[in-house]
Amino acid sequence: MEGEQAVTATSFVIFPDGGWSNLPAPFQKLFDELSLKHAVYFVAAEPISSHAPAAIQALSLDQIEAFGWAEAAAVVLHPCWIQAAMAIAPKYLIAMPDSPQQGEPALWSKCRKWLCAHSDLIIADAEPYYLEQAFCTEHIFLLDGRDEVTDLLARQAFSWTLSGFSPKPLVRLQQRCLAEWHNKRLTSDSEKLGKDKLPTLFFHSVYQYLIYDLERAKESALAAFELAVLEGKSDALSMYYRFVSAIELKQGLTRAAVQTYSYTAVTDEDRRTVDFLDEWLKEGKDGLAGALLYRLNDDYKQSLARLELLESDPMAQQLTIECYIQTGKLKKAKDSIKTDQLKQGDEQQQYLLLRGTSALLAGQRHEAIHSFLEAAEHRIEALGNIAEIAALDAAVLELFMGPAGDSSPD
Amino acid sequence: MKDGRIWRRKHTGNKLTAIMQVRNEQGRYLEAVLAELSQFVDDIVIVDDASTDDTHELCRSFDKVVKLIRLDTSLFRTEWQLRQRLWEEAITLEPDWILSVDADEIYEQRAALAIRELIDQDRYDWVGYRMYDFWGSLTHYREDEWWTLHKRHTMTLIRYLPGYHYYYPQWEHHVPRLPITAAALPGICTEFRIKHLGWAGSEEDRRAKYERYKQLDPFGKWGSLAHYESILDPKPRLIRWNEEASQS
Repeated sequence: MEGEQAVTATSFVIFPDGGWSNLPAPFQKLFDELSLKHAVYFVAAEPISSHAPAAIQALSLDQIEAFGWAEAAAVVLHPCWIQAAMAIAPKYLIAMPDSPQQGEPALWSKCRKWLCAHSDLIIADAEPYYLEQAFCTEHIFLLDGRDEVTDLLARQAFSWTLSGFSPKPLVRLQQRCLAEWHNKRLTSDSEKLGKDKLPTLFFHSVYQYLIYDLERAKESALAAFELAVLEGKSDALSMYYRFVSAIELKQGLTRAAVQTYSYTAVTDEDRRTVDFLDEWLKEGKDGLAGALLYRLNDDYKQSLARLELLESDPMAQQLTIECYIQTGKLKKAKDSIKTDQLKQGDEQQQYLLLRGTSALLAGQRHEAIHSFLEAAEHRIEALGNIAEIAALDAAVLELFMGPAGDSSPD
Repeated sequence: MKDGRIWRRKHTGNKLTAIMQVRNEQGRYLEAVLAELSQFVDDIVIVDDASTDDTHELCRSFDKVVKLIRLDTSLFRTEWQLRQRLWEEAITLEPDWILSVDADEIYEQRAALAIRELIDQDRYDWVGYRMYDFWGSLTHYREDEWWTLHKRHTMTLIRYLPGYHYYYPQWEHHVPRLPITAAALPGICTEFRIKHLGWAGSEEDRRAKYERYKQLDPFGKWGSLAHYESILDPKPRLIRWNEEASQS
């Protein structure tokens, strides 16, 4: 979207996760409001619930292909729509998936990641997932009904996107609001927070980190760590103290950050990572150490920003590809791989799988299947990816049919 | 942090510093404790919490006591500040390991002998010991409903990690002897034993301690009132101590 002339999407199509009634209330409110200004469609086999605004019309799977996508946005609520939604090349892709559920199929998790990676805007309905994505992408907003201003900014971001404007300036604004929201709870309701105090402290720290108020971020992270220890949390070190290393890194204190991380390195694998980081510092490769350390703190966005400055370093190239894959940016990962340097066997097979999935997301099913078959020549397990295409097709059909009872004009 | 490298844990040659806060310990166990400690630690840091007897002089008579701070005003009523002060004084000596000892605690001999082996490694950052409350004598320890300290491990020995976040909760009493955040690091629990002699004296001594606790914490804000009351139990369950028992 960036760099292009602003083009308004006159309509948008909702690719739902169940029926209208399944939508979180703040999402319903958003669509309700926007149905007054835009033509809104809802992909469904049957008429939409009577609870939905009358202006919202049903759209069948057959109609999707012929739809005027050049001026329409796809609003995807379930990750399994990813392939269908990307294949139609909408003017804008807006992801509003539910947060990952415990025990959900691995395919959904993968699809959610791909969906978010390819969206022009992501709107999350829960804070943990919002924060996870805030470490991967720029265009992420929270819409969970917590307060008027926070919700308003998310709704505004949606409207801006439809109007062809980047919602980026609103991101930081919403994060400031969210930081203040947590700060207020900590200062005025601290006694009442009880068990919520620990997550509130930690979230406060993360928002301060996101908005670059790093001294306060550190203060809250350490307070969260102290409380986690007092509460006997087994992840006090790996969850709360480790984050201090990300803050120090953002403060420009790379060596201090690696030192802090080293104290949280408990497993053999973690300790081996510290050996790498230490060695890189010794060799003066602070940038590389910082990039890896950001990634170890799940901050892929910062990690990639650092890696972009180190393009010529082969290790940086490898880390970049890994970061792209981790964040679902498969095409970028594929394009970054130097195919002539791939070793036969695993590396070759991984590349073919990447190429196949990338093609699938671009709507090129045949190319995708071809790549998967080629990969299966190296290892038969690659056929599982073809089975996943079928699983996605089945899931889409199920989502289209909607839940029994919701589609009836109740 | 030479050559850009970070600080790393040492496998060998670790310096062991004992830390201790004292107050009016003359005529009790302090001399024995310092004599024993002097055999297996490298140096000792003591904060004297405004003693009014000759505790200060007694401490000074031990060569291993390399730092002895005398407070003019007692910090006992804000114990966390006392703990914090002791910690801050200790880390100026750049210790590798810190052993927190009370003026009435004796490490059994095999614990003292094993301590170098325990600290000269790079896997664990704290060590837990079994602490036994001796009661009314040096031959028996107490074990009943409120007196089960030895059933769990007490972290008394920790590695000092430069730059790590060490934190004492700001409590007035019963503040942990070492920063609680050290416990988040990987540690090892041993079966080595410590004799806590604080209750080994006369009934009069114990009553005086009871009165002090009740005065400092009348509503049980910092400890359990039932625990305080159990100090006066006329028939505590006592178990004979076996020196160098077969535990390993």
